[in-house]
Amino acid sequence: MDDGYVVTPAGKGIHLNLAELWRYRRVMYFLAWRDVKVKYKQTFVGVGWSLLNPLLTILLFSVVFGLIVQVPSGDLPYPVFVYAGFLPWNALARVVAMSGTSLVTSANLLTKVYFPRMAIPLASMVMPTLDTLISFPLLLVMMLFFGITPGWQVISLPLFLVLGLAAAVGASLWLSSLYVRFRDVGQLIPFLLQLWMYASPVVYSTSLVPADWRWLYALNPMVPVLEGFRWGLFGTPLPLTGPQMLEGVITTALLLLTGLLYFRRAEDAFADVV
Amino acid sequence: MIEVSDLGKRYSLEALRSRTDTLRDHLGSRLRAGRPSDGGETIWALRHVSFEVLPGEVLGVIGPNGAGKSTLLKILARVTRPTEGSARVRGRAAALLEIGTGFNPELSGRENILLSGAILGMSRVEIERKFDAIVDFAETGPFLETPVKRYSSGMYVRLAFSVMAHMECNVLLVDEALAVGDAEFQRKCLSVMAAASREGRTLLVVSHDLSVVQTLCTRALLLDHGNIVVDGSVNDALERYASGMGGGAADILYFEDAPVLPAQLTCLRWRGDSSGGEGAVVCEYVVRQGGEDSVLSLEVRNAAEVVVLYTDDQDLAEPRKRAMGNHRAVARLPVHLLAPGEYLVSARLGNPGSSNAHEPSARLVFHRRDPGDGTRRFGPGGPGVLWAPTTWEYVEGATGIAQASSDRPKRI
Repeated sequence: MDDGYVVTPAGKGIHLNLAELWRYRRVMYFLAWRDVKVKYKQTFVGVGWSLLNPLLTILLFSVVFGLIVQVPSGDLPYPVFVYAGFLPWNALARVVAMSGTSLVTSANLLTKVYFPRMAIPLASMVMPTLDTLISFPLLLVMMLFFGITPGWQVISLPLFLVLGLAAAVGASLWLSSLYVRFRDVGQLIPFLLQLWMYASPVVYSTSLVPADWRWLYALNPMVPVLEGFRWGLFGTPLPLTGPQMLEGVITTALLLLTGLLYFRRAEDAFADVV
Repeated sequence: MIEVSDLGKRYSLEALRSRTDTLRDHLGSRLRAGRPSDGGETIWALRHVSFEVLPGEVLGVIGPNGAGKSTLLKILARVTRPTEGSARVRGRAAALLEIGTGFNPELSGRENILLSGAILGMSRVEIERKFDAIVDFAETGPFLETPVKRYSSGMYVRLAFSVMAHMECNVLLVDEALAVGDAEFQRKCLSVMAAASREGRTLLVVSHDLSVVQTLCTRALLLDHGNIVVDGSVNDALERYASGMGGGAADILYFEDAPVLPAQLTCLRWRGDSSGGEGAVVCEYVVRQGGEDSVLSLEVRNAAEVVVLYTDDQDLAEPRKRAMGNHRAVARLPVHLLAPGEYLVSARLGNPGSSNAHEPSARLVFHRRDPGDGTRRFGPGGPGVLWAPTTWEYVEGATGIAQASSDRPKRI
């Protein structure tokens, strides 16, 4: 970037140009650093809420779905079952909500300074991810309390986390770039996330879905992530077949790839329409 | 250096007018018409623009509002892409389009230096090396650990500008709109830019303030409606700007958003019957920080640049005018007192003590026409800046003079 540059009209082809994003990683780092700093400026309130929020949610879920509706959770106590689903889901939902609106809230950066635009949605994924990770020990405490120990399957956890991350990046790139152009997407995001949550095995298990329909259900990228997460932690049997797990992996890959391509196509107009 | 060849940028009018494109409308129109409703009317904000800026040169870009100055700057800064043509910037470029880019009010002065520096493209080593110089220049040393939301607007602007002023670059692209703040600070901004040009850097300055262009620039580019009108000496461009093109004035002016200002004009409009003696200036402004002691003032100049009328709302006992939000103020001017001719109105909104105005040279124009009733014989350009029917009385006989002189007090 020190030798200058040439500005030309937007070309026809699409170059992902991830090398440039890497050269500007410092910008990404500082944008993420800013989010984290601002969030934890009032340390007590920040960390306190990060723990209290999921705690209250699983309490609510345990009462409503565990005690009242009596959703079956196999051999597991319902609070542990629901928290193992809620933790990764909450990470995804928080990331998508924050990242999906990031370009619009950073409009002043888009119109005033140059760096690869993808740095903005990617950087804004960091703070919500950290914020949800803080409540991970809570799950370990609960497992300890109920005397649950993970088996050998625990080594697969990183794999499912990467899969969840890919789905989050794909959804974030799509929504953030759509939101720049269409201002009603902002209203759509919370609804979309709610819909997505009930279409995912967060408060219930995939085993409740009729076996004939599981192939369709498994197209949801979060289905293999959440079921895989539970399988990895508790070693309970997977309610999905191998090909069904693969389905979700394929839709995730598609979501990520189309997200990258759409973002690249849309970003040239960001400064003009934001 | 900067090389620009046949640069053009087209905007769709639809997108400029209604800023709210919604997915619902988009899908709706796609269903109705079979294809999205984009396209339509377009406008070239910039067209067939070619020029070069050599190292050591300071190019001032001037022109009325909407001439394409900002679009040119945005393309050169890579914020937006051109529709046609190309621009090449050789060497390390720094684009200063806005004061405080990347600043966050919650973070401290120190944290904002790091953040803003990184966003503007400074390396870690560069920021570390320049850190003390940045703090010294901004004169905010004791408040380094204070969140910048507690800074006065003057301190905020000084710190933000200081980060920008310490960027290492060969090519500097500057929007003069960032020279906000008090007179002392503006002088500082100018001296930084002057120093940059002495060091042989390439400078491109977009400016509304013609006096800045005159003192700083070695060459000037006059834009109008997206085209280059003059590319030559500063004097040529300024002369042409002042004579043709209505002096960069219109009967309605919109101002670009400058979110750092606690209070800012958004629109200035002439309303009135220009041939008669009635006329008013409608000022629309936004107050972003309540309680600021801002004063709205108007200056009316004639063609010879003489201020013939000054007025402000300092004495107006109206507490609402400083409350947060959008305001409209109407100033009725005694146009019937002015000689026929063209007048320029410039407005300022700022603290009485400082020159915290913006776009000081963006002006509204109105014409005071000859009423045409034969009461004025000289017509436009006649002597005198004021004109109003004067009553004459003739006194017959010489005795009146003698009497008058005898009435005078005696001086011995």
